[in-house]
Amino acid sequence: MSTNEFLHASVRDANAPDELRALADTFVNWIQRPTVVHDDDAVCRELPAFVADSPRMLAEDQIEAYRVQYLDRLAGALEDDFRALARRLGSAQWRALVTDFLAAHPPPDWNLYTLGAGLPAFLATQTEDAVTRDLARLEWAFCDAFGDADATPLTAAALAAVDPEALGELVLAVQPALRLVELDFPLCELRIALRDDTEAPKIPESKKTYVVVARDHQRGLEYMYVTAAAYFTLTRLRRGEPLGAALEGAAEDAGATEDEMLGALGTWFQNWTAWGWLVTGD
Amino acid sequence: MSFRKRHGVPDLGIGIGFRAPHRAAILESPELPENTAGLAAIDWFEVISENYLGDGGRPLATLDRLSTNYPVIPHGVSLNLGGTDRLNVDHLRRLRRLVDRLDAPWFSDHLCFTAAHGVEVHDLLPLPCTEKVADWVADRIRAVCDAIGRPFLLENPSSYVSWRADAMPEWEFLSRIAERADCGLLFDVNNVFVAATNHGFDPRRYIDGIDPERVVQIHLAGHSERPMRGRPKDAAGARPFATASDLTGGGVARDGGPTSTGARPFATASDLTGGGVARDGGPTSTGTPGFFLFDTHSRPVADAVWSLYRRTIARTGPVTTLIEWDEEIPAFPVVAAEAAKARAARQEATLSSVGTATKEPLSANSVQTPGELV
Repeated sequence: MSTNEFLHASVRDANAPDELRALADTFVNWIQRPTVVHDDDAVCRELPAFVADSPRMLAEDQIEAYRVQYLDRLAGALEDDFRALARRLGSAQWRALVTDFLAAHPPPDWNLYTLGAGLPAFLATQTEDAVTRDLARLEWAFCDAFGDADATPLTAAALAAVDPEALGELVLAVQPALRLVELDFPLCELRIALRDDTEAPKIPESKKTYVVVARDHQRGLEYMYVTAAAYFTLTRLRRGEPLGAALEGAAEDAGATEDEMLGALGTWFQNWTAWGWLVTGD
Repeated sequence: MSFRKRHGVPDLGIGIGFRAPHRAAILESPELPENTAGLAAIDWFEVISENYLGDGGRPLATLDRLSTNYPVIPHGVSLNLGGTDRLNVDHLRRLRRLVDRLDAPWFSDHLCFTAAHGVEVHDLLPLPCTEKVADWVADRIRAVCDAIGRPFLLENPSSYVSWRADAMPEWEFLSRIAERADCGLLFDVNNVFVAATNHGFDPRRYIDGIDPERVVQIHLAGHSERPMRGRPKDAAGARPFATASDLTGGGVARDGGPTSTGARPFATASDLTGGGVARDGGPTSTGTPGFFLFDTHSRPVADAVWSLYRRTIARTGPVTTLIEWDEEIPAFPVVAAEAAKARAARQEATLSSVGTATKEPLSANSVQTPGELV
């Protein structure tokens, strides 16, 4: 059994009427095809078995209405989520990308929010352009964070109340909606300009860049460039590492000294609690 | 006893679909004169369930604010009630959480399938109208009702396809399912008109063919024309069915054909955070050779649909009614004005039906004359 066959078998309800299953499978296959129904000989051959001409619409027109709608609807949803990427690619290249992407990754479930989850990885197989690839990953971070759970921010006072001797073993929870993105270009401004359709700034010089996307107090999403040391600390805290181990590992990841880490820690805690990046473990 | 009485579902009055471009008018600045006037026309809001099945963030925060001030009803688009894939347990769990959060008196979804062999198409695909399929759908609805624990309403879909397997008209199919599943109906009058025009039946037969005691809610929306690629079947002038002109007694010039890229009641993150495009809706005509009707929710309700709405209310009595507008969403007062129009039409139809005998049933071959329904 192929992977696809296995997946289909796992979702199918064995009690469904056979004739309904045949119709539903065929219909969904038709509307996923890239060719206009009228020009698609394979579909035209199958149509008479299932579709009746209506007084107004030929069978081909009936199915074409759904085929067009399928692609338009999903392309529209993806463009909403990857608007900067779509603008960077231009309409023809963008349409080709989403058509190929949807053919390779048809929507698996009801959740349109996750439709684009695989697009950055798919794009990476289609282009060598690092800016385009980074832009897709950055845009996805915003989408991915959108509907995550809310959590109660940890206050600075609560953190200050922790016994200093216990700080090393302290496990801190990070806001569920927080996303950490490592890029080769600082693209946040370009993303905004492209999404807003304003004059885009020049493509910035390549520079290792660390971005946090997080929920603000109005539950909107904001971004912030952070240092490598902060990025790796947050990454390790998010994994559930105790604070001491997280700092030690992050220093190694970022090539920072112990003094540099300890020097930054007070400011990090002050800011991260104020911004709601650290939350209670409730 | 009617479904409404048995389940104690209230008449919520007139509502609109809550959409992101109107969030500020409704929640951030309701005190502005234009918004105040608009809100006076709105008794309740409907939301697309799938947009609020996440775990947190702005959608749920917005929903909580909205439901503090108004009744909010969740309306689904992806339960896949007619599908052959298993019901999605995670989807049902999240839907139950949403319905409970809103303490909604009912929830609803469509008579259709939305997925097959693990592919979700995010569209409402019509089912073949057969007894076996009706029984299959009814069984699934009962399972959904058990999982959610609230009264369920089934909505008739718009349709652009006629199945060779169809063994009964859609209104019989819908009625059989509702009876067997013991669910209510969310009767979409615009969908009836769109399907009737595309498939060549009299929309009044549909209205007269459903059990008015099961209708709990009504949807009203606008539609558009879209060109067909194939040879228009009615190009030679054959018109075996009613058009908008027939139903309203006057011809309306088509204003340039289709204008929308498609109905998408499914929101994305951007929908919920971004702004909409204000645009005045124009009159909509139907029956143009080479075009079919598409349920875009992008225009004002057509005159013919208002006529059918009044006919429906005359049968059902004053039931909860909603204006849907999902594409080319205009400023809030424009949609609110449609709601006000619905309120007036509902009142008028209710008053005119008091003491009136049931309308004469239509024969299978009945032909309308222009203005008959107005």
